[in-house]
Amino acid sequence: MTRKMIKTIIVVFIWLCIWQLISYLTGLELIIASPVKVLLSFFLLLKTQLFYICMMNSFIKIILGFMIAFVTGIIFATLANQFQLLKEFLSPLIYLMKALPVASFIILLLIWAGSKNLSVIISFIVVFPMIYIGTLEGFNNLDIKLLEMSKVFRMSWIKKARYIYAPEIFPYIISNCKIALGMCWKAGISAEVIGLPSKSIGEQMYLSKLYLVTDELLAWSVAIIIVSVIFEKLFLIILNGIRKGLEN
Amino acid sequence: MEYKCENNIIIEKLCKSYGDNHVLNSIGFEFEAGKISCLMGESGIGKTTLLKILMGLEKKDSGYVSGIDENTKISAVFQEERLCDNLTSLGNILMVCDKDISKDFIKTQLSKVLPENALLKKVSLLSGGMRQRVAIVRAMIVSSDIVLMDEPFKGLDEDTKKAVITYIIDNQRGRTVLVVTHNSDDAMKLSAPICVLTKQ
Repeated sequence: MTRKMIKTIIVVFIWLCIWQLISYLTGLELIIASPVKVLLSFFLLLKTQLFYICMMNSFIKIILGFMIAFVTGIIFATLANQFQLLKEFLSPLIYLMKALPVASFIILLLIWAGSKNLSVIISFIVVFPMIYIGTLEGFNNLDIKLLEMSKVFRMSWIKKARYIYAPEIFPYIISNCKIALGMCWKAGISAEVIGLPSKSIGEQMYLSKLYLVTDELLAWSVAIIIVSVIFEKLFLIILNGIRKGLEN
Repeated sequence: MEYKCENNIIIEKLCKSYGDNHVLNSIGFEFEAGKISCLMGESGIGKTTLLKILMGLEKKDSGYVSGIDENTKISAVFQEERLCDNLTSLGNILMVCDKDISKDFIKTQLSKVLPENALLKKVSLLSGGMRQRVAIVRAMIVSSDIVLMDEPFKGLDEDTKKAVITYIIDNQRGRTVLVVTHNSDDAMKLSAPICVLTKQ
């Protein structure tokens, strides 16, 4: 076990103790469930079929929104880098997506499209501007001298993309992905809590809140954190793998 | 592979300005096809600008350039090495080469001017002089009609310079090579005629 891991475990343990202490001192188990109770509730959830159905439904929708935004964000940024007109055309939309509160989008989409695929669209709306802006930033920071060199040596566009564009742009995409992966879960679950699509994590969290089952509510939160962290790590490993593959 | 370069590079009444700064003012030169020529001149006189025009990276304001057109293949050594830092010496050359040039051939060529242990290192880990040599080998290996070199010997010690000059001569293979240098000794070692760019 590395020093860093030991430190992390100690920090997490201290926070769990603080949580337990607050729960004990307030004596309001109904409002602040203790970590032990949350853990027990989490294991109980794991035994139910509903847990897996809800997890799968929410995961597929949120990640689908993320993936669509990831791919289209890169494509549109590449096109916007080539065509200034498209960049200017998209800029108000990107600004709107960045600035408008997620809740406004959720309510509007509930009116326009219903709740079934709400988390897909919300996840897309949150992630798209991040990937688009990150990719464009990468393009803006391209080494002009290397581009000139590629022009003189008449490098094919595939080689240019692999050796000049990808190494410059990938770090921007990866760094924005790290933020976007967390944000898509936050926004996606918020959309589900408001839209209440059937058999989703958001719906289950809303019901837990309604019946004041705080331990279950927190258990769902723990499940979301675990799934989002695992997906984030896996996705970044794949992205870094692609980057290294291109470099070699 | 031997190249057959038949057309001299002829520059006539070439002008280039950046705003009020007249960098090239009606200059004229002729560089012999299939030979090495050297271009000399004070710093800031417009040598690099002239090379950039020949490379197609800058547009001339007026004048004529013949012997180079859109079909002419050019390889170059820039003032800065312009290498991809994340790639090895070998990778940087493979990047610009056609598929018919093998890794072994590139390694052999690199080892003529670089120590063996530098071939597979990322260029970001190499010294300035080594990076410069990678850039020179890259320009000489690539299939081209004309090789343009902007101060290729900058930062090289005498022994290394000697090895690099021998390498350039051995690998010229009938191409027109234009070398910008500040040192007339370099031109002598290359057995190349000198053209001097002066203020008009």
